[in-house]
Amino acid sequence: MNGLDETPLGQHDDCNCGDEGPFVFDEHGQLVDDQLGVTADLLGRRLPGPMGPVIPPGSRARACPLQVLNGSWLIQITPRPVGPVMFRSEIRGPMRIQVGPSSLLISGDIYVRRISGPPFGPPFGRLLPHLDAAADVEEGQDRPGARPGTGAHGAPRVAWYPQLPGNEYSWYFRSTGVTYQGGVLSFTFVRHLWDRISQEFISTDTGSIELRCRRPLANPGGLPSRMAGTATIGGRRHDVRAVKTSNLYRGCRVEVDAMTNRTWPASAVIAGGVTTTFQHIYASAGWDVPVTVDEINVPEDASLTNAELQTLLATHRGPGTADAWRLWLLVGSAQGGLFGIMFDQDAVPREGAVGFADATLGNLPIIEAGARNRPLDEVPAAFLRTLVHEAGHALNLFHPKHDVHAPPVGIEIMNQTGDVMGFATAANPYPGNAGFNFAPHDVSSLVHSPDPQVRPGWKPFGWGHGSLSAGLPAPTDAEGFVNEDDTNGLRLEIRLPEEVFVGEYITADVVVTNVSDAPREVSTRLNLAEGDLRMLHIRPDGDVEQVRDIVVACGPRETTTLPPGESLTGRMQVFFTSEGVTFEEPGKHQVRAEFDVDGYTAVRSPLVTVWARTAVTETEREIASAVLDAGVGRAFALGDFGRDDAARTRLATLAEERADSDTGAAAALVLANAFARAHVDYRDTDATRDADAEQAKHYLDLAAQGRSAEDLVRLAATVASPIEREAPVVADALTRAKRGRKRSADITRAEAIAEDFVTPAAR
Amino acid sequence: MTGLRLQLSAPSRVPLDEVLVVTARLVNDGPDVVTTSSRLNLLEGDLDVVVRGPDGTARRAGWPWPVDSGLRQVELAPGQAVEGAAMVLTMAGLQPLFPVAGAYVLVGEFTPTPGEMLTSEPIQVLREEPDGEVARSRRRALEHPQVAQSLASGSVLGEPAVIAELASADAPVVQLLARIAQGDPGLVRDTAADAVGRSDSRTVAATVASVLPPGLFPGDERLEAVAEVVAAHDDTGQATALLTGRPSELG
Repeated sequence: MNGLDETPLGQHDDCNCGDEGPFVFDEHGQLVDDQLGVTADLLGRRLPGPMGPVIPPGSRARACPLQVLNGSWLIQITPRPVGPVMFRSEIRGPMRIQVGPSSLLISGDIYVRRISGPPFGPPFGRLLPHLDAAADVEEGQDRPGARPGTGAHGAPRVAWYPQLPGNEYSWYFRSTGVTYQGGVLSFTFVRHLWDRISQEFISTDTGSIELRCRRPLANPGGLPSRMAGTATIGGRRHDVRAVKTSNLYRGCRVEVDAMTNRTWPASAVIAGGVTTTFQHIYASAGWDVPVTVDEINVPEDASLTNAELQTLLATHRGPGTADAWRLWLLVGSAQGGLFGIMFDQDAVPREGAVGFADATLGNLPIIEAGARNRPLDEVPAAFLRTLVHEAGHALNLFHPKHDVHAPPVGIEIMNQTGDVMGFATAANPYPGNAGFNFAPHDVSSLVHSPDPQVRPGWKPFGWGHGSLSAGLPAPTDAEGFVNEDDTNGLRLEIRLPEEVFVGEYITADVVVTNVSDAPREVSTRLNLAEGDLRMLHIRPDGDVEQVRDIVVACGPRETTTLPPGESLTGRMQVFFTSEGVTFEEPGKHQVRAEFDVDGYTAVRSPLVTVWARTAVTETEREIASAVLDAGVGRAFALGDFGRDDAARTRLATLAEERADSDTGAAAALVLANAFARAHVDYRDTDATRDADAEQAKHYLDLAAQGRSAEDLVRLAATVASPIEREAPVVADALTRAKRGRKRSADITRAEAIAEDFVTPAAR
Repeated sequence: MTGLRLQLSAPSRVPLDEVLVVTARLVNDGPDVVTTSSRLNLLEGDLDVVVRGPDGTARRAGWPWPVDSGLRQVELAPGQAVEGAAMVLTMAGLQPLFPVAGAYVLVGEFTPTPGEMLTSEPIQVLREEPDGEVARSRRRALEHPQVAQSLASGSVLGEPAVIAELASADAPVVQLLARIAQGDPGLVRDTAADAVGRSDSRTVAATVASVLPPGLFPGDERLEAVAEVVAAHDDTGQATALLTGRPSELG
């Protein structure tokens, strides 16, 4: 999904007459235009052709246009009583409906509290803190309630955002499929249940909601749009009501304090002569951030340590309500040559950040002439960029280069200034070359990530995109880890066993197929070592890891022409990777492959599930106890035990006793590969391992027992490191298979695998 | 390919009550002059250190706070190198990198220009159990988030008594880091001088550069205090180059 400056679906309809849908959106929020026979283009304009189900004219005429759905809503869920009620729960929270040019995605955060009293209280109970505060808004800046467009599309004149106590947080949901037809919004969702003790999401289930949105025939009071309907959650039916609160999705007050003689960049002229502000940049990502410049005389201190910054946060930040989201920004002096830092990583983290006004941009020719060696606060565009960037960290956004989801490094806001400068040239110097927008990955996180991840003061920095957690799998899936455009005409498939036991030697086949009508040039580096292929691994606990080989090779990209209908296949072990033992944790693992086809476009496979269980039988337990060892793992990954004698002993035992299993045969093939060549340890020239042809033959024979030529060579091709095309085990296995009176078709298939190992070819 | 090579170095054995500081050297093996990022430190994020533990788990060393900074580049002539240092103590989220004693494998990653990645050869460091109750107490202290944050930030962010104890520890690296956090340039100078005697000028320079990276804190009095000490004991010029971030010829 792109940024929010694009026109939402349906908004181009001149009449806005409510003749909406049917629109069907998949689990990623993308428009599916063939499910109900819809013939609309991406702008919602109808095309000639068969229409979907007939909708009664009366109901269609009063349905809300799609753009009315777009924005922030307060949703309230009321269980249908099944008996006398002593206590009832107030179940409510924010719901965000993001309508893009060809997408519709819904997420929400539900807060629950138990209250006593009559079973049915006033609608929406007590009102929630909201952002209005005309007096608090920086002079000359837009008020949230007076923003152009605010009040349109069913939003109230004064925008507000449901912000509720953290200790009432209960669950997060995200749509997995949406339809909108005749004013009826129906969606299924996955629900992530929050554990208030551990402050983590601990389990998931699914549910569905159906809401009806109707335009009143007349609305002279300008009341906000409302929806009502039902939900099925946890197997029970509920009544649901929702009221629109804003055309944006989230809001956060920003208090700015400035040190004496330092200047807050209220606005900045950026490329193309456009004037922008802190608020405008966040509004382009769907956030409403009214800025209050409070103090402008924080006492002078030429150099600020993090400890001093923490003290300034504690002593200069104004009072706020407990539940309203807020952030403190300091326009400070300097900390070395840093431009800014989100320094607040204490027990209540991410509430403060600083931009350093005295830092200078340097004197490089890629800096605009008028900005060279100037203090940052004398270059408003550069300083504004840094302050927006630091505030982004406070909302738990990461530098792309450190984000576990690996979005591309570029010129958008969350890239470090140094990296943006790396894209500047003398002809297109910094800050003019900088993008004053958030990248799609960050927009998705800002709009749809759960409140605990985003809200300042809740989960620590690093939760969602960093080492603490990759965030919830659903948003990750929706964004899909795409760091390149999707390619057309290619299909990627990853084949893995459906169930494995922990400790089992596991291999994967990754197949890229040309499904277009024309030949395609594709990289031949269909392995985990050379950088073009990676696996995205969702572990049973929801953490997402990138999986690569333990060896990373760099070199020129070799390509081959893939004729229509033909495929390229990579075969690899995935037992031991950059994660260590990849499937070490029992439970449901999900894996997706992503292949960089040509450096510009990528193709992704569907998610594949691998169930990992503990070893059960005596044989499995023996195998597991032998291979769950870092040395053995490395030997499997490298196809050689090197100088690790302990690993060699374990492999030998396994090969001798369990060669009938693939794990035992793989161990035998590692030994066959290792003994077929000498090993030199260049750190110690005396320490070498001589080749031992007899041992190599012995272990090759063990692996060959009871295996077809294809199976033997396939296993050998996974054992050998993909960057060692000359690894002897593959050719030796083929030679051994040919001696074994195998069928000619079997030999032919084995030959193809051996050839592919050296030079991958289209087949 | 640029001809650049990344080389990671560290002591082969470091007890767990001492802070591990690694050096990262960027060498131009190619025939041409190469312009590269000189930000060889964890703080600014161009350098990463991946630590694989005895159990095979990989953890990424990190800095506790995200920072924004500008481009700093250096030109490396053929055969020249530039060096930086990294305090390898915690992950970005402050989780410990060395939860148990044992052999750890470290790999450096460096981004000389956006989109390009260099990876070092792996090195092995044996992290040993501390000997004695004082040392074990020091080890526990180093796993305290506020202590780790204090050492990283060069300021006392909490646990001042613990930082004071570390500042008098019988472990030269952690002692110097604690002194830097306390902020007194005179005491930093004295501690550095003592540490040079107990270890070497290169170790002292690397320790300081790991939290006050070259080029990022010009004029910092603590840096200047250590530079004087290092210069007096630096026969090869390597320690001074580490502190200044200037290219040096391969010796």
